[in-house]
Amino acid sequence: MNATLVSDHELVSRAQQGSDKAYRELLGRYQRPVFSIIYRMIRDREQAEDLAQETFVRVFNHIDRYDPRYKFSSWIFKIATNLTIDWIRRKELNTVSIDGSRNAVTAEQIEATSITIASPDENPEELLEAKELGKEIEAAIGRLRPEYRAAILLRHVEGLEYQEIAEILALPLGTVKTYIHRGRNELREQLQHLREAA
Amino acid sequence: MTDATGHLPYWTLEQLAEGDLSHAERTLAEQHLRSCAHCSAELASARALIAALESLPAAAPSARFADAVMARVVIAPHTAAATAPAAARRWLPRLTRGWMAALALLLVPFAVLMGFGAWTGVSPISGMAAVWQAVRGWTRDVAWNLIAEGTEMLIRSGLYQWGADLLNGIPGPTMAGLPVLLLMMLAAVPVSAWAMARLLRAPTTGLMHA
Repeated sequence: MNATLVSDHELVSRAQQGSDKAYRELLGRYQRPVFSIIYRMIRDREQAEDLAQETFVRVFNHIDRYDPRYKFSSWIFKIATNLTIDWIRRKELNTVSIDGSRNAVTAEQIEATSITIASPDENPEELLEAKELGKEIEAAIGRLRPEYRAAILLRHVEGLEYQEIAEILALPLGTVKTYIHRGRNELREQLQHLREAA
Repeated sequence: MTDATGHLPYWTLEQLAEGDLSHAERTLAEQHLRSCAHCSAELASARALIAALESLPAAAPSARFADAVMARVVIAPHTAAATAPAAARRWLPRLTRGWMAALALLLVPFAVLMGFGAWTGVSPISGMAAVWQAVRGWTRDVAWNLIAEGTEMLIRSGLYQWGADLLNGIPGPTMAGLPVLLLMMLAAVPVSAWAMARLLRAPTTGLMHA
């Protein structure tokens, strides 16, 4: 059996029957997108890893509660965004560095917790430019309201439809569209200096 | 389609950039864009922002992530799939003695019915009709007795009179009652607004927060 060809629903069903392999396949499919969205929201690698871990542990330990009428991805993103928004509200996190965890003190820690944002095909100049642009965009996203951040990232980083985002964030469709519109407007204003420089 | 400034609203430009406009709206927007440098620049800016967001690379967790998760997961066959058979199994007898008891529970009423038929000298079918008639008559008598006793108890205890007095005490619609009515209507406005807000904020799906 090739597990990669199996649907999420089938994998969940096997996980519910106690298949370790099914859990690991689900983890393999979603660890990157779940971590990615959490990391983009809080921009702290260590904390993002903790929150992503907590997301998977909650989902897997309550796998019997999964409602097959909805996508598994919607369920896991919902838990991930809820946990992250709660965490942001608790910590009142506003600014963090893309060059590593806020908790990193030494050069080694900064290096270990920083994230590479460029593709290997780029030359050093393009690499620097992309890194600068990435920094600017990520910093601007980090200044948005947590709900706007989640909606923008689900839409443009994960490429989800508005309806699915509404299900994930438990918001009416119109509110999601408004959040994304306002979020983009704020990003545009924050990145105005880049347009002027170009 | 244009706003008070004579330009396309940014919302429309975003929809155009995302391909969310209808054919007719898109034609109108494109017509305006051909003669408006400002809106063309705004559209380019909207497209650039969306492209920049979509080009953000995915971040990956550390190599030990999967093992750290699995170390905290309790793997047990809870199972939605096994829930239904498990529930059925709970109610089914597990031992031969249990099966015999279940069979006996099913057969005893038939045995009683046969005995009743033999005793009255009628066939089991007509005997069953007689039993049904008796049970129906008894149920009807008990129900009527309960209603009659209940009514009598209400009258004797004075509860009936108290209720009647209470209803008589409610004043009819007069001008004096108008301010009270207005106050009640005023109070109903924030209550309905609150109820509407709750309804609008209600989750659109049955997805659960684990």
